Amino acid sequence: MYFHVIACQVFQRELSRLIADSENVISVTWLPQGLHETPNMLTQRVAKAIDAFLSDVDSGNVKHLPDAFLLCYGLCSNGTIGLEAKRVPIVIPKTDDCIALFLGSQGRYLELFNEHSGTYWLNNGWIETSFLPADDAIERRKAAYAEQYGDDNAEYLIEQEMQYLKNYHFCRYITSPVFLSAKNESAARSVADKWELEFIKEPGDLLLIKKLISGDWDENEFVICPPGYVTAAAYDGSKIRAVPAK
Amino acid sequence: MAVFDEISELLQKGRTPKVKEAVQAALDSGENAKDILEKGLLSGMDVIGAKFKNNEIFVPEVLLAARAMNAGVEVLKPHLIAEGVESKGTAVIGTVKGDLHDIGKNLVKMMLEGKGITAIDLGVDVTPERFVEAAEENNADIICCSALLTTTMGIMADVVELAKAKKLRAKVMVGGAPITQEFSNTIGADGYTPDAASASDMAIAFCEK
Repeated sequence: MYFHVIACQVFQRELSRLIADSENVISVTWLPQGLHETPNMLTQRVAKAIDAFLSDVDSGNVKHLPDAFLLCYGLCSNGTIGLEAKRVPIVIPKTDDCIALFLGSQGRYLELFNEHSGTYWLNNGWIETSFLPADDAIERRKAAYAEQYGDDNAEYLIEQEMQYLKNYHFCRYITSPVFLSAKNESAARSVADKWELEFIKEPGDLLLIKKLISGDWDENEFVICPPGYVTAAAYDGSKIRAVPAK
Repeated sequence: MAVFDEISELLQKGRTPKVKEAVQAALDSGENAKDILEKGLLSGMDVIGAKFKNNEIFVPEVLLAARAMNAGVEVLKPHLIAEGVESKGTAVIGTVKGDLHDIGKNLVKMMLEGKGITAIDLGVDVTPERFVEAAEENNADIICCSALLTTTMGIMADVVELAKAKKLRAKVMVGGAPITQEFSNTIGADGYTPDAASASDMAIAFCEK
């Protein structure tokens, strides 16, 4: 099978390893980490990536029309809602976000989420591609605010922006089966120390990502959006569904 | 009047110490607390709200203006009480159980106060039972539920159900980044707004009914 994956950069190590080992022929468009903060932008970027790939197929640059577009994303703040499948299906894991994909299932994610309220999640991908609330990025942000609003106001704004971390109790660092990193673990521990969170290592599990790229799409875990359909939010726990495009 | 315009301008610029000074000066010169509140502070927050809805200003400016407003209100408080100035209504507000994000909720709280509504902050990780209990205790006009995570928004459905079961008169408003009108309709909430400024518009309309 030929698949084209559109993936968040946060999956760079895990997805790359799994693709290399897969029987399927898989290409990837990587999108920057963090698009969940501007979900409309995420939707647009994914849609553009699909169109760009189909364009390459039509022009002959890409020799094989994929059997499906696979999104290595979850609902991701509703960023994967409103995507129309054209010519081939779009397959998306029925998860809230990437954390479930790193843990192996939405079920495991929700269990941990509900059992341990107040968990700040980290892993290699996040540490390597995103902002960590324990480094000089906070100082830089404060300096930028100070320039615009004065020192006292800058202090206040940073306090307002960061204070939610005081509500958290745990820092769960999901380890990766493909990349052991003392450096990243140390960075995670620094975050936990700074915000007085209990540090816990949670073993990562690539099963759900494996299922995604192998075509093992149980309807409880994946939504298959066929051509002529568009993704929509589902409020029954399944997160995403496919409805006919208007 | 110039003195109220000055307070409003200083508030909009987030000049907290100056707002406190100007409010005190207005009191000292004989202005009544109600006028200072409404024509100075709240009218400044109205401008902030309108600009925020229009994307002319963003969260930092709103936070700074609200901080200035709160400082001004602190100065006025004893005088407002003495004058018997009443709040326009009461809201209980919180982030739902499992969710610990509060900046959006804090913004809404400030905008509600900017409309003259008493906003009782229940904090984060709030159960449906606590929302309802607080609404009953405070005879609230509105329950405001906030969530940032798609993992927690389902709790809002439980809040709506419990409020209905207890026959509360309070309206349930929902909001937060992942919330949509469709979701609000599905769970039977009384109102959804996409941002803190329109939340306060809807809230004041509910209070005035």
